[in-house]
Amino acid sequence: MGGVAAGAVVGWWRGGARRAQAAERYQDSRYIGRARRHTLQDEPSTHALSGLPIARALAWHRPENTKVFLLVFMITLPLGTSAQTAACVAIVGLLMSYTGALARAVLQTASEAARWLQATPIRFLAFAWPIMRRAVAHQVVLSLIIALMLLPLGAEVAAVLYLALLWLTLVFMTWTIWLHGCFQSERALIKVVGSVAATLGMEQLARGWGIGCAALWTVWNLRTRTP
Amino acid sequence: MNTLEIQDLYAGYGVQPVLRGINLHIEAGTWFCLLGPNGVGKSTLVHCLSGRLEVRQGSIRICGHALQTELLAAKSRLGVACAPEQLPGLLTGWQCLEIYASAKGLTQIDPAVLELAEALSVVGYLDRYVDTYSLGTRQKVCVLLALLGDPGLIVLDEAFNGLDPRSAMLLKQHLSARLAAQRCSILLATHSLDIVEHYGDVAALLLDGRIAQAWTAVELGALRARGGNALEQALSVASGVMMA
Repeated sequence: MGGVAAGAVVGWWRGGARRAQAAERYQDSRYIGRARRHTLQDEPSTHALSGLPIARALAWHRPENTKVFLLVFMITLPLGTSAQTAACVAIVGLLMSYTGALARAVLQTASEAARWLQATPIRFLAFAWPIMRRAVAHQVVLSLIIALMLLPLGAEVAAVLYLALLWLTLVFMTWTIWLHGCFQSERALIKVVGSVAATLGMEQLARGWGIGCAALWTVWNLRTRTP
Repeated sequence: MNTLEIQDLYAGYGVQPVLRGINLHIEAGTWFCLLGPNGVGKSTLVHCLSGRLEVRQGSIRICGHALQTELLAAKSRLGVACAPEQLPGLLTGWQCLEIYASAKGLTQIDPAVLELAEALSVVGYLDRYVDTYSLGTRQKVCVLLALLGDPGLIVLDEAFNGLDPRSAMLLKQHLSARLAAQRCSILLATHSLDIVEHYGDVAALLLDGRIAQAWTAVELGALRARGGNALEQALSVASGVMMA
């Protein structure tokens, strides 16, 4: 058994470079499907920006990444777990990884789009809202689905709804701070870390206060301003 | 009329100063070539013009609008070709054009830009994702974006890198036609003396964050008339490099 384990580790380690090469061989666009064909009737809009974080999150979930993620999730299941529970855990795991990847993808898209659109006279809301629009809808819907799927696994309704709300609050607050920072060419990391820590700290002291303040802070970050 | 006026410009990254007192003006209809070795501040100047880097001291006016106080008006007259690696890889070329046009407040993509795209043989690629493009195709899309909205000042940073000779020639002809119509002026940061020699109206050498030498249209004409490597020699002398 020891020999098998050692051999597996060495094989995995030696194959790392080959796997990295294989992963780099394909562009991200390979994993997101064909783009809609342009027609000359199409009016210019920033609509396509809203698909960018989704595309990034889907591209991250390429088979090379998903298989490792699923494997780790499945081996955490105790022996004797029913197939139904295992499937439920796997789906929840995949959805959680998608919402996490999407949260990160919005930040990456914001940084990328800000650099790219910096020389244009675009206004803040015209920049921020298209990037967030579809990602917000995905986060809300998937957080509710995850919460519902956790119920058969023994979670309490109030607890999962609270966690979903807290997650959404932290994600939206982080996005708006980051978008604002990128738009103004400012570093926003410290502001994000401070805001998240303050929100969680307030939640520890009095449940609901941190979420309320974070929601106000989110709206404040979305106020109209010139770059 | 000046499309670009820069007065006593200081800028840098962190505590590191890069630009130290730049004074520059570009008249409409002028092709201005900004020369200089790597790392002297050419791209930093482009970043200041695009609003990516904050100006520490001095002023920038684009088509009469101050960048610091009339930001939207100044940017609406500006066309900057971004670096090819800045194009979002998961958008198609059309989507890039649509987003950029919308960001510039346009209701349609300029027919002149579409004609240029056709001439540069890039239209066939526009329905594909940018991350499948070659460097040359990305470069072409970047230039097309800069030309959207008929800008008064076109800023190109090494925009001919990666272009095939035919595309480079077509692009130079297109830009020359825009200049001839006095519709704009061009600021080109480049290492290519060939472009300076054949297309540049005015040139300047940037060294250590300062304009070390400027050549007027008459002076450039005289260097062209001397032929040979007169321009290269003039640049070497201005840079303090001895030629064999």
